[in-house]
Amino acid sequence: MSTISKKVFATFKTLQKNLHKELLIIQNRSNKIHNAKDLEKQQALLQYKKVNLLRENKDVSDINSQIEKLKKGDLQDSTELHSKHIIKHFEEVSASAKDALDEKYKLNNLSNVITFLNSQREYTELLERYNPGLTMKQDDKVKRTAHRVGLEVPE
Amino acid sequence: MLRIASRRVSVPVTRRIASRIVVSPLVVSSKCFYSTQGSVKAFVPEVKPLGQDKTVENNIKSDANRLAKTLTKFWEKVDTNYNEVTGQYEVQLDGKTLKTPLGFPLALPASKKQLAYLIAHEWSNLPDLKIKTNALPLTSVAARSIDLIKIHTSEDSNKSEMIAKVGDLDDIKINMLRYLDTDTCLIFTTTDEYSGKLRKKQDELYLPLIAEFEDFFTTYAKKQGNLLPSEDAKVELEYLDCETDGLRGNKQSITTQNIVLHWLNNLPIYDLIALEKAILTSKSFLCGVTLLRSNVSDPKTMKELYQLNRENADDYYHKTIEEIVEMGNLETIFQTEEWGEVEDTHDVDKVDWLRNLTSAALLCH
Repeated sequence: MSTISKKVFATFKTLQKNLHKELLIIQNRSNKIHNAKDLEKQQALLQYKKVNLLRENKDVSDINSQIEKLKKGDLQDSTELHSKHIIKHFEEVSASAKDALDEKYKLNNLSNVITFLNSQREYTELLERYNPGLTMKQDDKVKRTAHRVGLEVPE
Repeated sequence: MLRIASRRVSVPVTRRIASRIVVSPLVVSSKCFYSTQGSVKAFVPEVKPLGQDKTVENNIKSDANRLAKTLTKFWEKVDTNYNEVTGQYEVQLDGKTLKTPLGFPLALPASKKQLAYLIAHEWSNLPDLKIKTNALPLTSVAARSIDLIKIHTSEDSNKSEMIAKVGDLDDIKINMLRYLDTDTCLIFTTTDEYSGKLRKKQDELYLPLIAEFEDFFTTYAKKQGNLLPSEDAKVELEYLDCETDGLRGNKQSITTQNIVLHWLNNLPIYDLIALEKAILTSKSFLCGVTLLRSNVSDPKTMKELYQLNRENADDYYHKTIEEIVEMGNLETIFQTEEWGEVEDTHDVDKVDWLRNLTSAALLCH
């Protein structure tokens, strides 16, 4: 029989942990995308400064280390979660469970939230993997289209 | 003599043909009117007045439009703000409330706090700045519900124009009802497919489901008074057994359709849109209703609408999302087991099922 009382769910603790993990992955992923443009700008600025310093025959080791740091920086994932309020919301919800049945519905809901976040992220990842043109920049698209017919876009 | 005789013979023949002609359109038209109204509507193009904007794309100054047109992220902060005046949670970008396609504020009732949080999360973690509908599933279903609620309650003069854009509630219900005719869970395969394994599994999953829903709608009809023709009549769902029936269409009786429609009329709009989403994903009406019955946990509506054939709270009907996917996607599951998964098809499909069904579950929660 498909009744609620016979369903077994993971505990709140494991679900909370999974939720935290999933939220963090999503956050790092979107940070990477959103910061990519910023990073590009910062790198260009540093390169410009470096060229200027080279012209004046000054020491560039400081700038070099900054550029290195920037390059490394985008690879590092943060472990600090921004959207803590969501975790907190579910902690409150789990604490407010009135009885065993209510708790089951709450566990069911929480696991739905995790499944949703996870499958939504995987869906966009798969779409991007199978359709590389989706996320390509317009400049790149033009370049590639020209290249396909044996032309090159002027620099 | 000969002529007369031939005349005599020919008279009954013409009469028979004539009677056929007279009777048949009556039968066809009455059928059209009752049971196939939805399906006939779908094939006959509706005549709409010219010059009316029917596109979803518009020039309302909403944030989604701004993003779609400029392709730059123009906000710093995404918030969920509790509006004390209306008692609703509003999703805001830099302090300004998001708008639905029809220009209404994206505000959710206090009971849907979780949904508001998740929508805000969706906006703060956009995978790509080129906005596509598949990037914001929760926003799109929530916005659709809000638009329909506003249209439903408003007495605005350009109501018909708005209905033309997002659709009419009655049409939505009739269209959903069509899926009960050709429900995935009401069509059984032949016994020789996958050496009988598929049929065995179908019997195992679908027969209890059909029995449950026959009981469910029978109880509903009795509680509502005389929806059934007689005291001991029961709602029976017609199903198609390919072993004995071969290829024929499947259609529910008018009584069943009316009872189900009566039930649909009681649903809150959020639940209705969740049901629509689930049905469109699973191509199964029963899977959609199962999803609603398993995920709405408000005690009052549970008792009145979703668990009405269960006395004891411990017996409340419930299926997890994974079980619903198994029911609706059974044939594909067997195919991939036998022939293997095809890249870019089955893997994408699998997460698409999950994300659509869970977004429906979160909307009705």
